[in-house]
Amino acid sequence: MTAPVTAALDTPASLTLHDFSVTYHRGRHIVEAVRRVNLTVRRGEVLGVVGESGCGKSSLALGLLHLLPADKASVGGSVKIGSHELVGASSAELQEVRWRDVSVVPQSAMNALSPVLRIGDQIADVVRAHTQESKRSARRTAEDVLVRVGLQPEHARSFPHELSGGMRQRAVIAMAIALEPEIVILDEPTTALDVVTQQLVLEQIMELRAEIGFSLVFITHDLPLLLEWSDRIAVMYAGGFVEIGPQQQIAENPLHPYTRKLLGSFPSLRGQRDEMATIPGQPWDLRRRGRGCLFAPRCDARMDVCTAETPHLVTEDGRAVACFLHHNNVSPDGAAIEGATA
Amino acid sequence: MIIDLEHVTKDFRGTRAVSDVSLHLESGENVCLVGESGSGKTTIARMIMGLEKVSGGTITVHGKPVQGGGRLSRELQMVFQDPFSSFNPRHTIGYALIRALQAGSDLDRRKARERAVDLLDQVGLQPAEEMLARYPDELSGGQRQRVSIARAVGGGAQFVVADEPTSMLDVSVASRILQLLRDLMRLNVSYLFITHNLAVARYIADRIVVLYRGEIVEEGPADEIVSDPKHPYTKLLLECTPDPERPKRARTERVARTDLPGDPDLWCPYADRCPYFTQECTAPVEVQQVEGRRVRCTLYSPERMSADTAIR
Repeated sequence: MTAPVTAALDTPASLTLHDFSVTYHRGRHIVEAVRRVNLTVRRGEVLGVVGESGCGKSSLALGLLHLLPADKASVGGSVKIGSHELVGASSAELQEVRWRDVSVVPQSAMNALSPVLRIGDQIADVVRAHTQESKRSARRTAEDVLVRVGLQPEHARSFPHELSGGMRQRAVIAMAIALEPEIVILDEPTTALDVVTQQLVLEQIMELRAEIGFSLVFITHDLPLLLEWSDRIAVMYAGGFVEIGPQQQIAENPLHPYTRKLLGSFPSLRGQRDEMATIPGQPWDLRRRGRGCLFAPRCDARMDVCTAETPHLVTEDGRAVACFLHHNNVSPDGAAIEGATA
Repeated sequence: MIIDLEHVTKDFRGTRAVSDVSLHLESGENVCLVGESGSGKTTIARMIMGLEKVSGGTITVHGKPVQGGGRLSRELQMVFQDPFSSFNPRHTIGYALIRALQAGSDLDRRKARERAVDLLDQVGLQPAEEMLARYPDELSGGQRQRVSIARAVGGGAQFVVADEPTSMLDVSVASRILQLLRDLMRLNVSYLFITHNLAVARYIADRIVVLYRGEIVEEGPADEIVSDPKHPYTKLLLECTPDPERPKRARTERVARTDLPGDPDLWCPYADRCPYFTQECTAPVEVQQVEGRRVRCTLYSPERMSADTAIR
C-alpha cells in the first residue's frame, strides 16, 4: 500500500502550495477562504479535493491562477508550477502560464464559454494567444482537440447553447487541454450531469491524461465519485485540509471524524437500505475566526483540547491528518480514542 | 390513493418524450423513476400532476382521468427540484404555507397557522414561529426544500411526487433531506421519487422503474434491481453510479451503432448502444416477466430463456 506513495514522492512536483491563502475583503469583513494550506501534486497524479459548499475549494482553484477580482481578494504564501512562482507574478506572466501550463475549468461549463462566440473560435483564441499559429492553423488545432474529447470537427462551428450539457463540458475540456498543459484543475466538472454522462466525460478525461500526461486536480463534493477516480484525496474543511491520503486508505480507513461523516452521508448500493449518516450542524462560517479545531462544534469525538488548541496537519506514512485523536503528543482521554477507532 | 398510467405517450413538437408507459402506483408503496437526462422521468411526473397534457393513453387518479391544467387533488402533491423557484419571493413562508393549508379545507386562519408551526417543527425548521415571518430569500436551499416538503405533506397528502429534490443541495443538506423524507413515511406518505442515482433510489424506494428514452425498460423491487440488474441499460446505470465499496471499476464495452436497419421507431430504444445487440432488437420488443420483474429486452424472450443464452 505504501509502494505507490513512495513512487509518487520520487516524481517531480507539478504544483506545490506552501502556506497558500486566499482572503476576501468585504468592507470591514475579512473572509479567510483558504487558510495557509500546504500541498504537492506530483506529475501525472490525480488529486481529489473534497468538501462541502463554502469550505473554500473553489477559492483554492481560482486563487491559484489569480482568477479572483484583485480588489476583492488577495492571495498569500506560495504557488509553484514546476519552479515558477505564481504568487506576486505580474499579470503578463500569469497570462503566459494560464492554459499553457495550468488550465482551470470553473464550475458550470457555461461560465468558461462565451455565449456569443463559436466554440472553435474560442479554442483557437486560446491557442493563438500562446503560440505562433496562424488563424487557419489554430482553427484546425481547435477541430483536432474537439475530436480528442469525443466531439465532431463540425462542433467547432457551434455556439455553446447549441450543445447539450455533456457536450459543453467536453468543449471546455478541449479548451483546457488544447496546449497540453502540465496540470488541469477541474472544479465540479460533472455536477450538473447525470451519472451516465458523468461517467463518459470522466473516462474521456482519464484517457487524455494517459495520453498527454498532465496532472489532475479534481474538485467536488461527491466523495464516492472521487474515491473511484483519484490516486490521492485531500479533504477540505473551513478553508484548510483536515486529511490527505491515498484513495484506498481514505476509503477503507478514514482517520478524521469529518472524513468519516462525509463518507457515511451518501446512501449506499449495498448493506442496510436505510443506513445513512448525516453531519450535524452547519459548515464553519468562513467569516468567523475561531479557535481550536473548526470541526469541533459538529464532531462527536470532541475532546477538551479540540476547542483550546488548533490541530495541525501531521504527516505519517504518506498520509496526513489534522486531528488530536491521531496526534501522539497530545494525550486525550481513552474514551474518545475508542469511540473514534471503533 | 391509486394512480394508473395506461399506454401513456407524450410528444413535444414531434419529438417523443414518453412512449407507451403503463404504470400502477398505490399509496403505501414508494416508487422511484430512474434514468438519465431526457429519459422522460420529469415529463411523467408532470403529466401525473396535471401540469402537462398526455398526447396518448390515459392517466387516472382514483379512477378519474387527470386533465392537463386541471385542479389537483389535495392528496397528490409535488416537491420540485429547484427550491429557489418554488416560492413566490414576495410572500412570507407563513403566507405560502397557511394558504396551501387552507386551500380546499375548512381550517380557519388560526388553526391553519397552528398547523403550519407544527409542520415546520416536524421538518426541522426551528424556531418555527420565527420561520413563518421569513421571506424565501432569507432561507438556504435546504431550508426552502424543507418548507416545500412541509407544504406538500401538510394538507394531508398521501402521495408526494418528488422530482430530484436533493440534486441542487450540498452533501450534508441532501442527506438530511433524504432522511426527512424517509421519516415522513410514518405519516403514511408515499413517494414517487425521481433521480438518476440508483443509490438514492434504493434508499427511498421499494420499487424502481428504469426509463430509457421515454420507455420503461425494467421494473422491479429496489433491492433486486440494484443487486442484480437484468436490462443492459440498468447494468450500465449501475456501473456509472459511484460506489466506494466496489473495487476499481473495470470499464465495460461501449458501443455506438449508426448503421441499424429498418425503422428507428420500432427498434429497442437501447439498440444503438447495447453490447448485447442482435437482429431481434430492430423489431418491437415485448415486455418479459423475469423473476417477478418486468424487463423489456430480447435477452429475456421465452425462446432465448429456454435456450439458456441469457446473460447473468
